[in-house]
Amino acid sequence: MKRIKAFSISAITSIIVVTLFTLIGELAHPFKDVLKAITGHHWITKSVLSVIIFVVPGLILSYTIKSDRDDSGKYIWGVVGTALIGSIVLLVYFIIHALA
Amino acid sequence: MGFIEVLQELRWLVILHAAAGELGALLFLWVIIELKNRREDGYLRAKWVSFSGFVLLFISWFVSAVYYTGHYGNIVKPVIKEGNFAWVHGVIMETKEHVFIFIPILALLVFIIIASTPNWAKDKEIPGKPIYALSILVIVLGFGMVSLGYIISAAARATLGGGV
Repeated sequence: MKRIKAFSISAITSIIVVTLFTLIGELAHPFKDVLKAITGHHWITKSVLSVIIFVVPGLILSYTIKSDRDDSGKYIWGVVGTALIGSIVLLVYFIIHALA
Repeated sequence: MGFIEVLQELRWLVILHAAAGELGALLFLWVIIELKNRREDGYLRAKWVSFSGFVLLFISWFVSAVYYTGHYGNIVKPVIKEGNFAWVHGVIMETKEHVFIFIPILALLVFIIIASTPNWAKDKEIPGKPIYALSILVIVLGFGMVSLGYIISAAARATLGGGV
């Protein structure tokens, strides 16, 4: 159960970072240029970053986090909610951006 | 070389991207069914089917990276942006490319959760609903990507006068 909690937290973090980096990159082009400079494309940078943020903290937390059996379901629900909210936020932003 | 010729050369790339993504997402329906039954043999199938689903979604993700960074921006995007369906790139493609990043992560998380619950068949206290919801989310987002991809392809074809 420790592993479920650990990787759920890292998945939530990964989704939030991708969503925020996308929005910041759209609002501040120098930031998008920095993302582009890292791998050659902003999308590749965000993709690689999402994997690193999911895997590395997930593994570290798996060994360090406190075991809490009853809470694992809540953390999985947290991932579901974060992914849904992240998807909706991105869709709404790009609709507003296209209308502006 | 014209757009159509290039698209024909790249069609297998797009087909592989879509087919791997659709099959990968569909496998999570199988995962839900196996988990729902709470049987020992079903648990083992759910574990490896979820892993296979993740691998297929990762392949779809990798192929889309090749297509998106190498071809879409240079060939398809300018066509769509200069036509009557410019919003398709601005809204549909932008949303698709970023939400797509979530999917392999979610798929891998489903596999990790299943692999972490070896007593699934016996232990009724392991929460089922959030795991089913996460699997359903992979399916919904996966097939959502398919729908958005169809709109993007249709916009490119319509702009070129090829109909939808």
